[in-house]
Amino acid sequence: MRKDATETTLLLVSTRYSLSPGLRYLRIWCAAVLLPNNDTLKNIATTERPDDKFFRLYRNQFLYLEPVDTRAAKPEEAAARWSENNGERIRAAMSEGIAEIARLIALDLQDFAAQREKTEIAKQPSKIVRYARQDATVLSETERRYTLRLPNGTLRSVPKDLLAAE
Amino acid sequence: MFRSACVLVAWFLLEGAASGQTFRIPASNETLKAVRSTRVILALKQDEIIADYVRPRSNGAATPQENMPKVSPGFLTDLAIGFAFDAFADAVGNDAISAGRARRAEEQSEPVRKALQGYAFRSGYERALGEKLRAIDWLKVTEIRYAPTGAPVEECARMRPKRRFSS
Repeated sequence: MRKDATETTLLLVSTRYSLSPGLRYLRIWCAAVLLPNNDTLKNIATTERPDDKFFRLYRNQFLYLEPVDTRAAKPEEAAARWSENNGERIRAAMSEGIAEIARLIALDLQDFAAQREKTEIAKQPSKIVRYARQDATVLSETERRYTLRLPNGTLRSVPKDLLAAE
Repeated sequence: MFRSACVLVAWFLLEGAASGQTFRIPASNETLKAVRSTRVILALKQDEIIADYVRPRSNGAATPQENMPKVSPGFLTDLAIGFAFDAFADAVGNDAISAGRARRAEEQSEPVRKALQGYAFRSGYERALGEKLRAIDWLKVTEIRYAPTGAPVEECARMRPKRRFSS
């Protein structure tokens, strides 16, 4: 794959989408890593992280999470909810998830000091919420969803309802 | 070369995602200045939605979470995220318990898979990513393509995690 690449860098984006055990949640999970494809960038990676034998220039993980809108559903019930009306709910969630993952990756790739002022990150005051037993920073929010950065730097797009329930 | 790329993707799943550790490597200013062009390679080893299941621990005992009669929504969130990573790293266990659970999850999720027939995840994802990534000035995206499906990606997905990821 790299042999025929003339570009200076390769961005690998690995993605998986699934229903959680019990079928209550749709998850779209993604990891991205930027690799050098020339000596200049390889040297930068080596200088910045001498112990990294993969010469990574950038790396992060992203998760989109959406529950089916029912509580304590059995798996069969959750499956029925997702798939009713020719899968209207699961299709809508998938489409939203695709857009959200793309947005998260782009947001994260632009989140560096020189660009902070220009991104949506800087427009929001720092707000911390409790999520999955961790303090997560709210990077942005819509009426329905939070964009969160967890302490390990990874990004999440989660519905606000989910946090309220915690 | 793609095999190396896949091993790399699996590697960074394994070595840094534990809670409390910084997983993210931000692009430095030097990197931003030096990038002249970027090829985006998408790895997606599935053509339909997967139903995950609670995997037994390696000693055969069920996870404590699975035996809890009642679980809070907060716990479910945690569980969902944790298993997203676990399931990616070890999609299907080899033992009979895992096989049974996998089969049951497949059966339960069949209506969802049927409802999603004709849904074009790949093309939609490529289009959405393309739009967003091409708009990033410093990245200078020249091309976006899917990695060839086949053995290397499968191999990555089978690699077992060294430890469980909590987030």
